[in-house]
Amino acid sequence: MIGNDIVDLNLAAKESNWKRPGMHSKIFTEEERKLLKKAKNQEQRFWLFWAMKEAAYKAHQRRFSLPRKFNPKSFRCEPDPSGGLGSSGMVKIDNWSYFTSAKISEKAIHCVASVENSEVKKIIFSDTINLKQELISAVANSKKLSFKDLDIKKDLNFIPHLILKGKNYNLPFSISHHGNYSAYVFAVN
Amino acid sequence: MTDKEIIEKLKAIVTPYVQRKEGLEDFNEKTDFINDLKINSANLVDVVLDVEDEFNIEIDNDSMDGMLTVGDAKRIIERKMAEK
Repeated sequence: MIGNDIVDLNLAAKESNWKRPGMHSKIFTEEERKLLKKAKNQEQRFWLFWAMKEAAYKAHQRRFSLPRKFNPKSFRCEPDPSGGLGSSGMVKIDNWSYFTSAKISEKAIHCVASVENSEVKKIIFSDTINLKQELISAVANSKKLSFKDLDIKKDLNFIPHLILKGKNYNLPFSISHHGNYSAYVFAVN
Repeated sequence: MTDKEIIEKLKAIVTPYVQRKEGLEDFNEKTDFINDLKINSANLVDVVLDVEDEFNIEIDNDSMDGMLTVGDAKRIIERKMAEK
């Protein structure tokens, strides 16, 4: 099971005031707030934790076909201390855990969450593209399917699914778009 | 405060975060913050904080997690105001 999230850091700085009073206690656990304070680059750490939570939320929601919920604090980030800059770690929700790995640049943060540290195909775009079409061609290529037979539809919980010739095609994937950046991930094996 | 007044105040609160302005034309209890108004999820936290300030209430995380539509928000506001 898989989820991903991308944050365009320039746009995030315009859209959100990450220092807004009261915001951290709505989003972060006490432990996360401690780690945030210790970070050299607090703004980057803020968005890294956010992307970890969002990616894990998407994987969790897809895994159990859950209705939507808005409770970022219930997803607890446990960055791997040896992971350098806290760029990867676990995210826990109730008794469930997700591995996360993040790619961080000055311009964007991309995070992938999965149940196991399994192989995924991951592509990040930095220009305007049709993300759904890109994903469909990549899946068609990887699984030797015809591009024309594939489609993406959202279910009643707003979780997107791949459809092959009108039937549900069971391949976990996740797409994310923010500002100038887009990304998709899907399971390879 | 009437339902209508709460909804008017909510509309004013969410407007700066709305990325799909057409969604504001028919703003009612069924309006979905993410699907209809395309408010990004980080800005939903701003909406919650603005609602707390405007109505002078505190929205705990369990209440926040069901705040997906205007109607959800209205009911939470009413409940929290009644508890004051």
